[in-house]
Amino acid sequence: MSAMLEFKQVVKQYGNKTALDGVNLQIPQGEIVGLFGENGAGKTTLMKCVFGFLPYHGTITLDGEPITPKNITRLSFATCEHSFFPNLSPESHRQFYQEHFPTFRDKRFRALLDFFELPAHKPARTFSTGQKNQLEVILALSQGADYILMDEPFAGNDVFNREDFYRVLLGILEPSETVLLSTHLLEEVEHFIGRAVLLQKGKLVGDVTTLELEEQGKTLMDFVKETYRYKADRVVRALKDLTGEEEP
Amino acid sequence: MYRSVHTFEEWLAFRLPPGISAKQERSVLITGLALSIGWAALSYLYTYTMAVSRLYLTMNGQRILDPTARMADFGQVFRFTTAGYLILAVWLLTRGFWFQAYHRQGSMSIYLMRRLPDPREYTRRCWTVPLAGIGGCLVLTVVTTALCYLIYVKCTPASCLVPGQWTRFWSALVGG
Amino acid sequence: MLAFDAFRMEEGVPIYLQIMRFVERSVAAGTARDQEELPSRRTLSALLGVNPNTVQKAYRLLEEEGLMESRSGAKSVLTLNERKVRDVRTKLLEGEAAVLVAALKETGASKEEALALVERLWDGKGGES
Repeated sequence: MSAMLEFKQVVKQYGNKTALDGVNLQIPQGEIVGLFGENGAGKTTLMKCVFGFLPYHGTITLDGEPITPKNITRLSFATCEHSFFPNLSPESHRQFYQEHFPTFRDKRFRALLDFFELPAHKPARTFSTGQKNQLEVILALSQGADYILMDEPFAGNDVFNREDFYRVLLGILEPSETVLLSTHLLEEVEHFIGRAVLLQKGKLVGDVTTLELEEQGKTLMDFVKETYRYKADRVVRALKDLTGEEEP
Repeated sequence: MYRSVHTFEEWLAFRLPPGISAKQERSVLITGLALSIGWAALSYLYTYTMAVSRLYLTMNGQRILDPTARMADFGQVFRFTTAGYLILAVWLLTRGFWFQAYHRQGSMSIYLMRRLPDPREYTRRCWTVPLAGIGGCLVLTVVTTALCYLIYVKCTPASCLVPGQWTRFWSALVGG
Repeated sequence: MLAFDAFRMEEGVPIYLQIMRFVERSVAAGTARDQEELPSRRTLSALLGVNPNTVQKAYRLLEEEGLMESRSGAKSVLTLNERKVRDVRTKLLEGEAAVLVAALKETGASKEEALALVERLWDGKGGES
């Protein structure tokens, strides 16, 4: 079985609202995938289903196996809601992670902590939002997971911090590591990602590699706009949510 | 996964949510137990001696036993003795739920706990102390009850004892 | 090691092409020598902030052009000789010239006007900026 995170007909409903409407997606090892869509498109829901935080219909498998405590450590998660312990320092987190995740990358953790100049011994609750985001992402990257899922991890970081991050990530990620990054910062991540997946109202409406886009001479924004127009939806509102800009 | 645990505090820290002070929890628990035991001892001492003293009359400056007097029911005397344990148990129960809520305050560390390879880690850290504490309260309640009953039966003048105390007490407990 | 400090990302041109052009220009200009090492795919990807697939494609095409070879580990080296350098130079020049000629034609210049312009600029006698 080739290394793969696979979603098969994943459906998630809240009452009569459908958050995920039959999502089929395959993410082979080694890809850096951008997950895009307006608020409420299902990006966060999709990621939460992977970890079993939400019940859902359909299957999500890792290398053909369902996701259970046996293989869940091969997945890591960075969320804008933050999943670290506010009362613990980065150093305490290191100890906790080392204890529970056998594949923890200690060297990488220390290097990233240094690089972003985070205080190792102060509790996370004393950090600025940007620093908290950084700690969250550092932990997700250092867990030693094969699949790193990040849900809007940079909400609140200034652009310089984010640029740094993309470069560092590109430098440290190994060919066996896969990243699924959900973000609304289209232009910024355009060159960083290798593949763009677009969700709309719980459906997968676009899936393209960035090399293909380059060949066609399209930007990611072009692709998104086209896909939305093709799906005949309320473009202006969708784009406004997506980029925070007015349609020119 | 080797953990070097040298103190009770360390042992406790592994069974509490990360970031919760084991020292503090231990102190609160010990204080709670001490107060409950203290309350049990003092309140029973008070109510028991009061009940026994009502068996006596003072005649010509001397205390003599009133032959017609009957000792108050055990249940009456014992009534609030174990209240401390109950309060502590309720406190521990809410503590358990508070530990769960802790994982959703300031951040969603619940997402981290539910991704751990040991799926029981989260439950263990939230409920070990509360359930152990509640168990302790239960044991103390039983022991205290037994001790108090023993005192009641052994130290009360036999002529004033109303028979069937235990049955009465038990049915009042179960029925009431 | 071939330095990419001077690399500037442009809009509208596929990045793998830009990387290739940069290497080709260095070859043509003589700042890149035979057997000179190129940064590993991962290093270059981090340096430029672009996905490794893009670097991979650029390197692969450069290999197909015969300008580059992958060695053991993550090492890649330039494999140049006089003929290759000449060919690259010619290709680039032609490419740049073709763009210029197309632009001049678009402005409606005649062949004589175009040649006169080139001569003037070459001799540094100033011109329109």
